[in-house]
Amino acid sequence: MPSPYNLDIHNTCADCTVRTERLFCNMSPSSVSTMDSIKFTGIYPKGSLLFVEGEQPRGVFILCSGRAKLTTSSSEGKLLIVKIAEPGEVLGASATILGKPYEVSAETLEPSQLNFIKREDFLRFLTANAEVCMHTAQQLSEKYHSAQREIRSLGLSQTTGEKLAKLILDWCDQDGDETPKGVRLKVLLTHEEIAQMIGTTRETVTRLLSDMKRRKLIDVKGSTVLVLDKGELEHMVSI
Amino acid sequence: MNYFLPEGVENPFASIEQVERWPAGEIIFREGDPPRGIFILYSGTVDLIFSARTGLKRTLRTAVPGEVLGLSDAVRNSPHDCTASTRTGAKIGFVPIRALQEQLEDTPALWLTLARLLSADLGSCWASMRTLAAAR
Repeated sequence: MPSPYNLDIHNTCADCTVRTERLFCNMSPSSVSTMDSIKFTGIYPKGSLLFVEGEQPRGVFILCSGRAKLTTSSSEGKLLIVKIAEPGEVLGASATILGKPYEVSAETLEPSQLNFIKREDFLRFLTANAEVCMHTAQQLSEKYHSAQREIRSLGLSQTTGEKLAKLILDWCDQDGDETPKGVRLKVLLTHEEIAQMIGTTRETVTRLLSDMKRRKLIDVKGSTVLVLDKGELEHMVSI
Repeated sequence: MNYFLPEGVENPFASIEQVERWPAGEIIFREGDPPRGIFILYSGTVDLIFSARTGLKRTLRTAVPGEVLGLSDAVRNSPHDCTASTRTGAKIGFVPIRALQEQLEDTPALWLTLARLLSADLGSCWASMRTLAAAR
């Protein structure tokens, strides 16, 4: 019987083939065994809301596969994507640890496997396992660093074009495939979601991408973006 | 209210920190410098200044009492991603990075305190992002 959404599902952390590659999950066998006893594995379709900004923390979601967007609303109701979460990340950790409402909403961008751990179980897990605490703290540091990078981009970019160029360059560094013609990217975000990442409107993103295509900086075919002139994009970025 | 010191909880850094008064306008650490340690802000405010390649500098965040500056950089052992400068006179506790690492080895439970502090820092970052996005 095929698995839902053709996902490679891992029902136990002990059997996970990529566990040792992930910052949080790479823990001792006894910690893995404890995690297996307190987690609830779930498969979520694209567009699933895991938790909502302002909601009291119920627990954490460990993203095993797939991706999720973390969003927050400005005082004017503008939606901002603060991060695209990748496999291995623990979502909702900061709210769960502090016992304060979730500060962001989390929604899956594609079919995903997530392990949910209830708040009281997660806190007990942290209290009893210094190694798990350390991994959690290290991952929170990475998220903080990522957020500081976004603050830099939001606050120092002179134009929206610069912010978009920086975003594309960041994608090249993180997920780009070098080809003879340029750097190939798989971009599953809509223009609206790209706009939410850089604090602008969908119409502006559409216009800027068209302009970049016209200037032969990028080529777009469906969800595949080929960055033809990375040097020129770097020239556009001053931060 | 320091959020890393709930009522009745002992300061985990008390034995290893050096508490000093800083005047306004002093640089605590510079963007790009390797981390020397962490700085616990007990009173006063600190500007977090980001620089662009063009030389443009802007204060994009402000730290308030209870925050621990440079913590993420110390945990990651990576250069500071901004410059911290006292906006007002401030009382700051400095914990050298070596002392912090030794304390973590001796008392691994301290990692939970660091996780709490980093959780609060992350929330501050997201709040700054909301403000910056609204300003555009």
